[in-house]
Amino acid sequence: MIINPDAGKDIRRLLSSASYSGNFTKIELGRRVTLGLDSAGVDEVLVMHDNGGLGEDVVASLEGKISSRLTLIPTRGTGTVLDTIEGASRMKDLGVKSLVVVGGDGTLRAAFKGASEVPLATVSAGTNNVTGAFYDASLVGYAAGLVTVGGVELGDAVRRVKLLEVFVDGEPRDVAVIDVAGIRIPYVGARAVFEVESIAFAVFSKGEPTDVGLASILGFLRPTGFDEDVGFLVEFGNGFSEVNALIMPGVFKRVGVRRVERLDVGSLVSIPPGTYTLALDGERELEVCSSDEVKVMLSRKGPLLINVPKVLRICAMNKNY
Amino acid sequence: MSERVITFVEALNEALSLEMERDPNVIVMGEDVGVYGGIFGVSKGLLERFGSDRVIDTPISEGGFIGAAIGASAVGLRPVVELMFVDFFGVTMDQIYNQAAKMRYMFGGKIKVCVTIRTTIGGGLSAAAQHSQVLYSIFAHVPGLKAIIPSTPYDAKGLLISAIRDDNPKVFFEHKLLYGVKGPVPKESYTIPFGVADVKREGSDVTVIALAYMVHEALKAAEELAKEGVSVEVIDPRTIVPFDKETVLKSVKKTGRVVIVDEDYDRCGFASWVAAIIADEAFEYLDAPVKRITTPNVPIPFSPTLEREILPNAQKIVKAVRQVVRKI
Amino acid sequence: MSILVPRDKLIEMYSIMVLIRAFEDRAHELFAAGKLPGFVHLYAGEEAVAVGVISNLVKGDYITSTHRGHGHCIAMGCDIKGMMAELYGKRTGICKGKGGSMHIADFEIGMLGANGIVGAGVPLAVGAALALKYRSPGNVAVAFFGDGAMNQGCVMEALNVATIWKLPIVFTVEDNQYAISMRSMAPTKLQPRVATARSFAERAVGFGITAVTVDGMDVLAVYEAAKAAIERARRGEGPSLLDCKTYRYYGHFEGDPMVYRSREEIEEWRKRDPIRLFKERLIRMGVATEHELEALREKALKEVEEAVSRAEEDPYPEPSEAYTDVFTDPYY
Repeated sequence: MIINPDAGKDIRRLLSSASYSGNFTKIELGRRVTLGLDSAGVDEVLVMHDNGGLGEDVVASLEGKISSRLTLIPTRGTGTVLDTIEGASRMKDLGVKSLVVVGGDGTLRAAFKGASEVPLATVSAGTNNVTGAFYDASLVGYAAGLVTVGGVELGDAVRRVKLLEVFVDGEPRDVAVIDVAGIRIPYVGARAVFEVESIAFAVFSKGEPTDVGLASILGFLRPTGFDEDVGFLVEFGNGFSEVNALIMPGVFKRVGVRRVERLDVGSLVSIPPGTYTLALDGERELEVCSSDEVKVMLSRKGPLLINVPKVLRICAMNKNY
Repeated sequence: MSERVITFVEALNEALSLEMERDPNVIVMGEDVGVYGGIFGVSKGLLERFGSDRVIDTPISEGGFIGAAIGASAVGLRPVVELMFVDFFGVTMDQIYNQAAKMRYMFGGKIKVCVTIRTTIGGGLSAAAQHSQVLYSIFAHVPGLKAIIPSTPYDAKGLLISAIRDDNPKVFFEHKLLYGVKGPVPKESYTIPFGVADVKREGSDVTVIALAYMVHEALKAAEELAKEGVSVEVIDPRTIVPFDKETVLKSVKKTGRVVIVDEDYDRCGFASWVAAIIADEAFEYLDAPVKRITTPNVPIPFSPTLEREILPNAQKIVKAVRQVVRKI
Repeated sequence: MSILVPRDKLIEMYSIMVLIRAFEDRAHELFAAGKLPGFVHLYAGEEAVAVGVISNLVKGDYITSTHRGHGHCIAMGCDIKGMMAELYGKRTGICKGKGGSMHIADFEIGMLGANGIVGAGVPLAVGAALALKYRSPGNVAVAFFGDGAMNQGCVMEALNVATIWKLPIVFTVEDNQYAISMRSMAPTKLQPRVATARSFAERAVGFGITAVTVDGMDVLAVYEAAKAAIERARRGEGPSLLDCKTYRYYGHFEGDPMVYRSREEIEEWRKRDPIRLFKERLIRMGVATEHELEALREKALKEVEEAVSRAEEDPYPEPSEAYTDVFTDPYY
């Protein structure tokens, strides 16, 4: 389990009605995940040592009180996204069978970068939680525990979702699970995307009307699930269409669309040249300038996401609990 | 000026009200100063007249709101902030003695901190150890704070108006037993300069120096002693920072005998400091040792018998004066 | 909220950051050489916070600062010759040599003072905000304070008072990971003791103050968050809190043996040096060339050097100066 102490705390709280995702809430979520894992019968739970000391609190409060062994996994403690990547990678090397992240889409993406072969589940503690669903953390832990313990055919209850791979001048540079957006601001800054007017385009792998964030735009324009082998490049402006999208919690914005291009799995799309920062899953990450040739490919190489209700249902039918 | 007889509370209320009318930068803040009108009624009616932007009820959070008053005064407002009992200074003293008192000096004299901290002092109400102290010596001890201690309605009004207009941080001490005291007070606005003692009764045999409620006890004692043929001069310094040394020394040189009445604790207090000044600068004029009547170094007890035992009063003053007069 | 920063502004921000660094590095040397009396607390490593926040302020706004205040002073525009002379205790110091490193102030430009008492500037900033709300709506106050101050009672009182009075104030926590030797939140091998129960911002949230966590090593991240917070305050929407994660390179004070943290940890943070990060970004964005930025750094070094030579030569105050400025009246 990885708890991201920084999830759900960014600048959007000042610009929307997003809640502050507090540390004590995260500790409770972490405890519930751990109790769920324990209840499913896992031998050992590895907990990342994070810079907020949250994982440590979970371990300290449950150690010796449950059957699962609890082990803290150290990281360099940079206080950045690198901690999550490092923690996930170490856990993968230690042979974990599933990984639960307490955070938002950004946290999931970081965990995926560190452990792409490990089934992942998210407990929603971010601002936009497109990959996670609001189930009680105990059940997310329980589902991940059932995946870990195995013994039942899960079929597509754990399935690989789509991925957007970003290439700069032909070199793979980074990945996003949900969306890659070009923001007309030449620097990363406070990371979060909050200004619709500054978005030039976005490439989506998924977007449902129930999503919050940029995915909401696609959600209302052309609802697209994780299961469909299709993605879209959307250029913003006037002409084609307009949607009322939920850009941040509480902030609905009318967004004009100039052009939509359909992408198939395996196809590469060139993004319009210019000076942007590319926001990956809603966070400005990558600064590109007009001389860079940027392409995005939609693939099926995304995270192995655990579908919590499906796993629980299959286990219920098989009396595997 | 048109004078009438009003109470000490009314005099203070008038001072606040006149200054708020005169200067829009004057604001009043403190616990229960608004709707309630002040726990002793000093700010009664101000909220209705000046609105809640200028008469601000604060939470019971002295570090926060006295700090805020000091900060606001450093950038040009003239807050009059109430510390309900001086005994509560412990929870906000840093803001008073490390911030307000020192800012001007530390910053090279370039700023003014004109906050007025009003507070209540004094025993005699069985309010026990945490609501009965006077403690002005502690504030006077710290360089950078003026300390104002009125004893009559007239002084209260004039000194409070002066305080609000003064450009320095100051603490204004109001003795709880004085609130109901009545006296003649002009209707109009007037000021009383700091550092000018008031001779409340002229006399020739003994100088009695007293502050706040003790001025009244000293006058009572003087009345009694007059019957014995002892002429007592009662001096009320009114402010202890600045302190009117000249008036005190002049009187001592005339009488040659001194009794200092100080409701503060005995140790390292106001009375000892004044005694030291007299010893330094008027020793050769003294015909008897300087006598101090203070509160002994014990917390203020609750029981009326115990409290009476320790607080200075007219009887104790009479006794002390008799002692110094005998030593001719 | 428009967040595009014009080129001139970016260059100005960089110039101030390198000036702060140059000032602090030089003060570090001067202290080691025995030139500076008293206590000196240096801001190197935290430049992005002061500059990111203060770049959003305008005339009429106020700040209060801390014992580690040089960065805030320089970002507010205090004269560095006067500051250096103050560190030396010279008559020409910004406070006539009466304040020293911990008490630099310049009210004319809204700098309401560094402070020797942890957390004590926060209620003062609240008071400044109260005055602004009453007298000059649209202006804001910013209180800078450290992670250690978050455990002071007066800071909690100030947060509450600011909320209930809906004051135009931005509380800026500079979480530089250590409250003197105590780890701010997460324990380490060298320092298992923490000063704060897991969260600064959450306390503010508990008072109903909007809080965000900010990468305090990235000046543009701080700039954007501060802009959002300050604009809210200017609109009369009340206080907010920025929890800036940063790091001090030098000890708590000069002469601190720093037994509570490792060299590796310092190196790890230095990899994300705010000035280097910003410099690389400016070059990549085409805002300035390496050469131009280096010239700005050299200009800063020169300016500091001039301040040092001036301070060296300046006279000490006359002894009689000890008795002035206690009150507005003559000494008593």
